[in-house]
Order: sequence, then structure tokens, then C-alpha cells
Amino acid sequence: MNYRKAARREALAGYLLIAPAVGLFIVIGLFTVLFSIVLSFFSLPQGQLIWNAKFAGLDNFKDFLLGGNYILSGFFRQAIVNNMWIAFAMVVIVIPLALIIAVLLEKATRGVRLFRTIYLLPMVTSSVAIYYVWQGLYDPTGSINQLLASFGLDSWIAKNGWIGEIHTALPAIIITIVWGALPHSLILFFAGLQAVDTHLYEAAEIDGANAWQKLTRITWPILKPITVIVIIMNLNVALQVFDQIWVMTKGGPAGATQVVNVLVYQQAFFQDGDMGVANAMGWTMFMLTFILSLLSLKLFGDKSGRESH
Amino acid sequence: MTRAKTAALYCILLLWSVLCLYPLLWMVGASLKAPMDVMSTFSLFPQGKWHWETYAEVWNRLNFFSYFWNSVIVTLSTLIGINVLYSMAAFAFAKLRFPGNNALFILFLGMMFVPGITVMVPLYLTENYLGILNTYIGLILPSINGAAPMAIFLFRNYFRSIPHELFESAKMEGAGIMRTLFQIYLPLSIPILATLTAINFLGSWNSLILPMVILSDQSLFTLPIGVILLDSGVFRQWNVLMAGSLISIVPILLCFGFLQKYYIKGLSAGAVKA
Repeated sequence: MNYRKAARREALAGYLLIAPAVGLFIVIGLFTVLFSIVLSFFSLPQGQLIWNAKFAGLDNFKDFLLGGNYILSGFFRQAIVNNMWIAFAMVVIVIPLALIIAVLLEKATRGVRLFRTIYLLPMVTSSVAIYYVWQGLYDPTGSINQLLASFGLDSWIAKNGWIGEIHTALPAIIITIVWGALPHSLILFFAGLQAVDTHLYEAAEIDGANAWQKLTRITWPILKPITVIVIIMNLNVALQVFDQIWVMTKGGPAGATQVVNVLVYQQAFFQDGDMGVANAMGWTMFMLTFILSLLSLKLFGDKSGRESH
Repeated sequence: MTRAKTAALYCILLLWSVLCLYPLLWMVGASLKAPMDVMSTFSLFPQGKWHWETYAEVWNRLNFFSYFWNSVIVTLSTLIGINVLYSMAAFAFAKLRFPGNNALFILFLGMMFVPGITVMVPLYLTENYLGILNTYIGLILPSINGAAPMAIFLFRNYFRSIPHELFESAKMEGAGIMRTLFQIYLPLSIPILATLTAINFLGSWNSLILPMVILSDQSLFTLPIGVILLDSGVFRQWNVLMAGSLISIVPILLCFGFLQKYYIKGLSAGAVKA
């Protein structure tokens, strides 16, 4: 009897402790998510009250996926392609570069902490402030063009600025994104390398292992799970990118840097947009991110890791 | 390593440092130049007079004092909210038995997959009906909620790593649950408090889309949208824009010294989350 009373009191205390968190979660988290999913099957022109929403079935999805709305589906296709280019760069450029710098930093004996602090700065300062700086560097008369001119590479100069010309805008934006996102991968790789027990290398050397064997048998097994995490993390950054584009180009010139999240924002909060379509687009992107993450887990994840044991 | 190899190593490390630092230095230099010199001279810092007065103008006349203050209020409230709310919830999840414990915990963790921008529309509509659109509260509550998965996860694991005897003996001594949490467990959890503070300080301070959606009253604007507002003129005044930009990241640079260690911990923990 006493025991049951104590258990009831414990449960009550538990509920009281989680009550504020759960309350906030229900109103701000769960409710908005469910609301958002429901809304993606309704049509609600921007600025209208919620009771003007009309059920639209799958029309929202047809609009931007299957060409139901010709202009919108063109924008969406371009945005997806741009997101994919950014994702590609976030894997093929960021990972090798971060790994190389991490390895070099691990080899250094002096100033490691200072270097690490400096290398983190792009990430912690990545905000509106820094995106304006990049705009300045990419300006028609900005540092990059000035640097090219001083080397006499006049034909390389982007006359309308690096984010002002259709064929250079996306690469320029990608450089800004890579610059800000690389530190995260770098720090994870660096932490992984530091976690490798140096005695393992010594023991391997005594056993006559060469550099390649040390890399594939000792270093890689530790770095591999980190690489999987880094890939998923970077894909997520690439597919959810918004701030950089919004501040630097708003998707221009002529859609050259348009990405899905900017399109979602414009659909949701600009005139002529439809909030239902915005939500449908957002969740489509979410599904895509989710599927790509699962695929990377399948391709590089646990399975082969277990085989090596 | 040979001497040549060491030299090459440090050359590359220095080169990368320059790439990391150059935009920041450009920001400082541009803010101190005369307006027309920003784009016309290649030298990083002004060659003639250093125009410190631009900062005074941005801070006083262009409202940066108010944007700064708004950012401080929002970020501080968010950080306090995160640490109080989720240490409490995580304590219940870690230490107390009640029906639904695990299910609720997993539901919280599941929220980390929710894409931020997608839920902006319903958030906007919901806040409109709750009457908290365009208020500090309307900005603070979603920021707190967004940190829930990571905060609950880290606190719960940490509380579980503390020997259970401590909990039992606090109970024996007659300490209530709240006292056990706030006077015994939280003081032992400083590393987690610091990690969550470091990560969420940056997240909240640099946040752009949420204030863009929630706030329309200029007197409530936080720094990131304040900086964008500086750019709304017909032609861009680079020195003013850069002075505002620098003001907006100075707190980050100042705090980063102390918080770096915990920030790095948070990055690795965040990776588990991803």
C-alpha cells in the first residue's frame, strides 16, 4: 500500500516536472507540425484567414512537381538542381578538404589551439554580417576582381560581380556556404584523429605495418563513422540552406541561385503565394533530405563497419 | 618530420588561417573607411583617417542600441528557458518512473527532424491566434522549443551517468525532487549547461528566419534583421553596413574565448543528434 502511494507520488512529480516542456512542445512543436502537414493539402492564398482554406487534395504537389503550375514547377526544378549542386559540393569539396586540414592540424606541434580557434571563426560568425562581407568581396569592384586585375587576369574578372552573373553566382554562393560549414566537419575529423590511440600506431610499426596499412586498419575504422555523420550533416545543411541566399542574392540573378527554402519562404509570405503550396514544398524537401540521409547511412553506415570486426 | 616538411605544413595551416580571417578583417577595415573608399582601395585598412564616428552613428542614430538590446533579451531568455525547462524534463525522464516516460522522451527526440522553414507558416498562424505574434515571447518560445531534443538528450544522459546513490541519499535526507535537481544535480552538470549555452547562444544570436517571420515592429528587431535594414537604402553605404555587421558579431567574438571548449563539445554532441 505504502509502496503504491510512493509510486503514485513519483509519477505525479514526473508529470509536473515535464509539464512546462510538454506544454510548450504541444503548442509550438506538435501542433504546428500537424497543422503544417494538413495545410499542405489545402489551398490558402497568402494573407488570407485560415477559414478561407480550401481542400486541394494533391493539387499543391502536382502544381510544383508535375507542372500543374507551369511557372512554379520550373522554379522548383531549378531550385532542386541548385540544392543538389550545393549538396554535391558539401560532400565532395568539404569532406576531403576538412579531412586534409584536420590531418595537418593533428601533425602540427605548436599553435594547435590558436589554429583551431581561427578555423572555427567562419562557423561561429556565419550570419547576416558575414554574408554582407562576401557580397562586398564578390562586388564588381570588390577584392576578388581587384586581385585578379592586379595579376593581369582581366579576362577572369566578373564584370557584374561574382554573384551578379548567371554562370558564376552559384559557385560563388557555394564558396560562401563551404567557408562557413567546413569548420564543423573539420572539428569532428580532428576530434576523431585525436581519439586514435598513438600506441596503436607504435604497435603496428613494431609489427612492420606500412603507412597504407596503418591508414586502412587503424585510422579509417575510427574516421568512418564520423564521415557518415559528416555526410548526413552536410547534406542537411545543403538542402536546408536559406540565410546565405536570402542575404546575398534572393535567388537571383534569373533564378541562378534559387533554392527550395527561399522558394518556400516567398510562397508563404509574399503576395501571390499560396501557404498550402509552401508547406507542400517544405515537406517534399523534408522527405528528400530524409531519403538521402537514409541512403548515405545504408551506403556508408554500420553494415560494412560490422563486417570488418 | 624533416624541416622542409614542417615548413610546408605550417605554410598550409597559415594559408588556411588567412582564408578564415580575411572576411572578418575586411569587415573591420571597411567599417573604418570613408564611404567611397571601401570599394576603391585594395588595402585592407584605411590609408587616411580612421572613421570611428561611423560606429557612433550606427549605434545611436540607426537604432543599433535597440537591436542589440533586443537580441540580448531574446537570447538570454531563450538560454535560461532551455536550461531550466529541459533540465527539469530530463530529470524526470532520467530519474522518475511514470507511465509514458519512454514514449514522451522519444517523441521529443523525433522533433529534431522537423524542417525549420516548413513550419514557419503554421507557426505564424498559430502565434497570430495566440496574440503573441510580434512580441519577444513569440520569438523566445519557438527558440526554446527548437532546442528541446538536444537539451533533453544531453541532460538525461548526464543525469543518468551520476551515481544513483546520490538520488537515494538526497531522498533519505528528506530533500524534495526540486531541491535534489536544482541544488544537487544541476551544480554537478555545469559542463552540460555550458555546452547547451554555447551552442544555443550562437543559434539564437544569429537566427534570421524566425525573427523575420515573427517580428514586424521595428522597435523589436534583433541584430540580424537590423543589419538587413541598414541595406534598405537606395545605394549601399558599405562603411555603415560593415560597422553594423561588426557590432552584431562582437558579442560572439567576445564570448567565444570562454565558450570554445564547450562549443566544440556541443558540435560533437550535435553530430550524434544529426
